[in-house]
Formats: sequence, C-alpha cells, structure tokens
Amino acid sequence: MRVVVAMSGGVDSSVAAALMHEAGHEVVGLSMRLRDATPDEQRAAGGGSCCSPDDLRDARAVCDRLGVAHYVVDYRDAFRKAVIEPFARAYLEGRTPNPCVLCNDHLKFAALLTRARALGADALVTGHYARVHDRGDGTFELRKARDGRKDQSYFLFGIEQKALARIWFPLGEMEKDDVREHARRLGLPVWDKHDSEDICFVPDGDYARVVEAVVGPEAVPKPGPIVDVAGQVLGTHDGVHHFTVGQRKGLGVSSPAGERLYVLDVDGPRGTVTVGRVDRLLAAGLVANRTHWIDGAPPPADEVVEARIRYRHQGAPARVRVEGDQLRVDFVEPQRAVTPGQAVVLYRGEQVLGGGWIEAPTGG
Amino acid sequence: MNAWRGACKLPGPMEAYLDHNATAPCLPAAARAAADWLLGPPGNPSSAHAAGRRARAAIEQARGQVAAALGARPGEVVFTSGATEALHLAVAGLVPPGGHVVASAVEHPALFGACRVAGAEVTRVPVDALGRLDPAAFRAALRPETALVAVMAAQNEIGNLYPVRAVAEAVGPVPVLSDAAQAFGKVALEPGPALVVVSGHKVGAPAGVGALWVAPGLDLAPFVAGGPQERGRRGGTENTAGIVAFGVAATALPERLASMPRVEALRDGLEAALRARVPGLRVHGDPAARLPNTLSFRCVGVDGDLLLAALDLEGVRLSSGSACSSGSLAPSSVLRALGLDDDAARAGVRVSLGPETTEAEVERLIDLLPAIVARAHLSGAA
Repeated sequence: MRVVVAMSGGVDSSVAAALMHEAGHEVVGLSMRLRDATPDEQRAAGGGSCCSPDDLRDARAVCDRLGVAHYVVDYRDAFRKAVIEPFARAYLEGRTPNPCVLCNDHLKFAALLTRARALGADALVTGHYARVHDRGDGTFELRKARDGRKDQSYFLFGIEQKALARIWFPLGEMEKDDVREHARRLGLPVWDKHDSEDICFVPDGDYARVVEAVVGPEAVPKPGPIVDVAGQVLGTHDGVHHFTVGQRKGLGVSSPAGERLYVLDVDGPRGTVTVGRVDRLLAAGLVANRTHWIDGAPPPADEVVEARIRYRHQGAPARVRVEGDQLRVDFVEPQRAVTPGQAVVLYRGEQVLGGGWIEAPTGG
Repeated sequence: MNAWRGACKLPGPMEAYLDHNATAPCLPAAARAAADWLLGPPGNPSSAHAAGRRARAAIEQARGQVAAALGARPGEVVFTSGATEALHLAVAGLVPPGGHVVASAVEHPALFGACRVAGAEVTRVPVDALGRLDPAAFRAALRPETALVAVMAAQNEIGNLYPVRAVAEAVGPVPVLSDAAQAFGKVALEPGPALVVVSGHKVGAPAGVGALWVAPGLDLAPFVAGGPQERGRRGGTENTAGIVAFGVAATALPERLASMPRVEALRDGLEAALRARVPGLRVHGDPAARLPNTLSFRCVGVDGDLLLAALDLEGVRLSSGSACSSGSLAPSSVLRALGLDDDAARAGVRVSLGPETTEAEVERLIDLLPAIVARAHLSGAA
C-alpha cells in the first residue's frame, strides 16, 4: 500500500516511516513547512539557509536513507492563521492556549490528510503515541498509547471519525525506548536527536516574546495590577501574557501572611492577574465549549468518565453534561489549576470520547 | 527510433524525464571525453611542463569548440563553474558598488543574487500577462549611471524568447548581459548583447562547467582573484575534464538545434492533448515566441507541488517553477510577474523536453495528468 508519513524530522516520525518501509509499504514522506526560520536558527544553520530549517533537512535525510520519496508542503500561511495567531490572541484574553491540538485539527489531520488522498495514499501515518481500534463495523475508536508516559491521545481529541479510518499510528503499541532502539537498528541519522516537548514555534520557551512579535506593539498587553482575591493590589505585572493559571514563579509579590502565592485567574480585558493560596486553585468542575465527539455524541450524564484538563494531567473521574455547545464537567474530586484555553479531553478507559476547550473553572 | 537515445542510459519504461530545463542528459560522447581526460595522464593547465601544456591544449581546443557554437572568437570565452558563476563574473566585473542595473523582472535568481552581492541597485522591467518584454521600457529605465542591462535570451520557467537584439539597440551604448543558459542549444542566439552566459549541463555536458562570452574591447574586473587562469578573469585551477566535455557537447550543438523541430512537435502535441483532457488547464507564456521544448501551465486550483509529487510517484519527473523554488518555498516569482496571484502562481508546473525525449514519455504524462487532477479534486485538495 502507498502510505504518506507525516515527517517532522524527529525520531518518532522517522521510525514510523522506517517501520512502514520495512513492512513493505510504499512510503511517501511529507513534511509541513510551518514557519520561517527565526534569525537565531538561521545563524545556527550557517546563514543562507534558503529552503529548510534543520528539521526538514533531517526528514529528507531519513527518506534519502530509506530510499523513499519526500516532499515539503508549504503550510506557512495556514499555520499562521490557524495556529500562531489564535495562540497569541488567547494570551491577550488571559488564556493559556494549546497550539498542538489546533495544528492536528487544522493541518495534520485536515490539509495533510487531504493531500495524502490526493497523492493516492491509502493511509496517513504519523509518529503519535496513540492507537486506533477497528471496531469491525466500519467505525473506529481512538485509544491511548500503550506507553502511558508517552501517550499523546490528548492532542488528538479533535479527529473526525471518518479520518480515523485512514490514520495509522505505528508507535501506539511501542515504548519510547523501543522507538530509539528501532532508530538505532535502522541506522536512522536522527536516532539520538533529543525529544522536544517545546512548542515548535517557541523553541526557546519564551512564549511572551512570540506573542509580542505576532500581535505587534499596539496590541501587546500593558502592565497592570496583581491583586489578591479580595481585590487588594499586591504589585504590578508586565502584561497578562506572561501568566498562566497555577503559575508560582515570576510573580514578584508576596502575601502579607507570607504564604506561597499562585496565579488563580488572568483577566485579559481588564489586565488583572489574581493570585492566592494554593487551595484556591481547586475547582469542582469546569465549563468548556467548541466540543467534539468522535462518535458524534457525548457520554451519558450519569457515566463517570476520565477527564484530562492538560496534557500532563493524570486524569480525574468526572461526570459531564452537554447543554447546546456547552460542556459542563463535574469532577468527583476537585482538581487543581483548571486553565482556560486548554482542552478538556474525556476518556472511557482507553478510549478517547472527545472533549472541548476550557472556558472557566466552576465551584471552588 | 530516436538517435539521441543511443548509448545514453535513460530512465526505464515506467519513467518519463520531462525536466530537461533543470538538467539535460549528459551526451555519451561528452561523458566519454571527460572520463578519458580523467583516466589519462594528469596535468595542471598552469604548469610549464609537457603535462601542463597538454591540459592547456585540451582547454584551448574546448574553448574553440564553445566559441564556434557561440559564433565567437576563442579569446572571448571565459570558462566558469556554470551559468550562476558566469553571471556573477559579469556583474562583478562591470558594475561598481552602488552602481545601477536595469534587468527584466523575470531574470534568473542568480542574476539578482549577483547584483545584491555587487551592491548594485536594480530596476526591474516588468513583463505583460504573456510574459513579454518591451525593449523601450529598458531604455526608459536607464540612468546616467546605469552600468549594465540584463535580459535573458529565454526564460527558464515559461520558455519565453526575448528580443535581446532590440533591447541592445534600445539601450546602447550600455552593455547588455544576456543569460542564454536555456536558449543555448534550443534556438539560435540573437546578436547584440555584450556578454552572453551559457551552461554546460543544459546542452549535454556534465554540471560544473559554463562560460561567459565577453565582447571584444569590454574590460572585466577579475572576479575570483589570485590566479592568472582565464586571463586573470577567473582564478582557480580549471575543471579540465568538464571543460573538455563541454567542448564536445558544443560540437554537437548543430545536431541539437536540428532536433528541435521534432521536440517542438512533441511539445505542441502534448499541449494540445492536455488542453483537451484536463479541465481548467491554463498555459503560461507567449505562444508566438517560446522555446520549442518548454510548456508551463497550471491546473486551476491544484497546487503545483501536489502535481509534481503525484506525477513523481508514478515516474514522471517535471518541476514546479524553477528547481530552486520547488523545495516548496515561495510561489514562483516569474508567474507572479505575469500578474498571477499567489494561489495561481503556486499552481504552476513546467514540462521541458529534449532531443532524447520519446513519444512514450510524453504519452505517459498525457495518460496520468487527467486522473491525477481528478483525484485532487475528489480528495478536496483542489
């Protein structure tokens, strides 16, 4: 079969491509060009890097090594509109966005999947740690990866049922160590490349600088007050885009009682950051919107499902209710740092049911 | 039977190499000449001994062959590593820092790169929707300090032929630099320019060798300084094997030119068949003045990179825009210069044939393209 492998230039997608090739499929590597190299990256590449940031070169090197085709698709405009700009706007609104989900929804499992079909491919393969289960009735389940530490199903909750039929995740059954072992065994030039958990367009982790560059000087959030829950001003901040709910470091203020303070709320329109004790971070539930259900419907209201409120969240038992497009999630036990802008993803055991985007915590 | 296929190893039956403007197959005689040189006794053309004299003689023989193909005298031909270097040599040799250059908007990126390196200011002469140039517009763009006018003999992407002689007459006495990398071996070159750039690998020599023809009486400042080679115009030990092969390829130029009517008939048949079978096909360039081997087109709404990849997977090699921009960078600046918007420019693809091209290769594209375009529409990619 002809399969398109989405190749980032990292170890995971490289091994996915190599395993498909080894299994006898006709592999076509596709790499998404998502942005221009930053000036720092251009310097690191020795300047004059006309075409590809290093990762695209790595992806091409892997495909050359395997002797398979590799093409670059230029999604810079789409990535800016669908991912980078919403990312920056979210910070202005006091939210903490999750761009990887947006990229999966709008590019990888939309535009790239379409391109794979246009190239006559039977499947789109990615290096995600997740599994697709064929129910045998023409429908499919999205499931967590076997390796719970690497599970990336959280980022995939927006996948359409009909897309699942054509998506393969060959790493879903594997451990990360197995993947590196395969990379070494197959002699892939990227076998010892370090894992990146950074957001690809914020390679140095400086979110605020990226936000400022995207929104422009006019829209950069102004300095404002840091207040406690009673509204008393404790200090000032350099702009709401520097803060996320649950953050403790970098506040520059202390409580009169000498307690550790955490960010409880970021109010973008007002420019206010509210801080307080750690127990004030607990929420009984949350409200989310823009929901997506892989089987087309939410779980029944009386079912206890598992809710994950951020990528590294271990999951919490919860009940859910849907009113219109609004999703209400009530945790069995209160959860810490429910963060507007992140996704809430719901599971039934291993199965991903769907989810939505967190609007606000509820209760206290 | 096509005599050009001869001993040359070409792609198998399922492959169709339709990208001759990117690089042409090396002629067997040229490859043999290079191999014979490399396998023979060594010799640096700058050495004073017999081995050096032998190398020098080989280069001078090739210089005579290339000069003959250009209708020039041997002393007017400077060998370079290729067309890009020849353009740099010409610009650096004639344009002082901060000098002014008038160039067509559709010159090869190497010309604009050479101007940037030279610190030149460039006025771009626009083309119309068919990619045509008006010689009077070059004259209108001249300034007292204009050091050079650049107009290519044939455009590499859309294949347009340009009125080099008329431009030279319009801008005289400012010297005209004409990039003939694509025109050489496909059409007769017009007289008029003071400098002409040609490339070996577009006419059956290996890549890595090209030449700059400089009109008598024109003084060029040395470019790669530090050696007396090429009369001080281009230092560095010569690529003798490549130069020898270029000379052999140049001797085959009359045959190459003689094959062009057949190539043109193939191209015209391809164009007619594609127009008939592919809905939304638009052809770029000037049908009245076009290289005989080149066909630039787009299928409305279908990305050129997608067509390139889909055809490549079936064994058909062509390019989207020029080879440099087909790494999926920006939409073709040449198609943009024709007035196409970004999406339309991204849809462009180029087919380029050569004397070695067979009917079967062209048929393969005719068979595949309609289905590939239909699949793109079905998938939602168009």
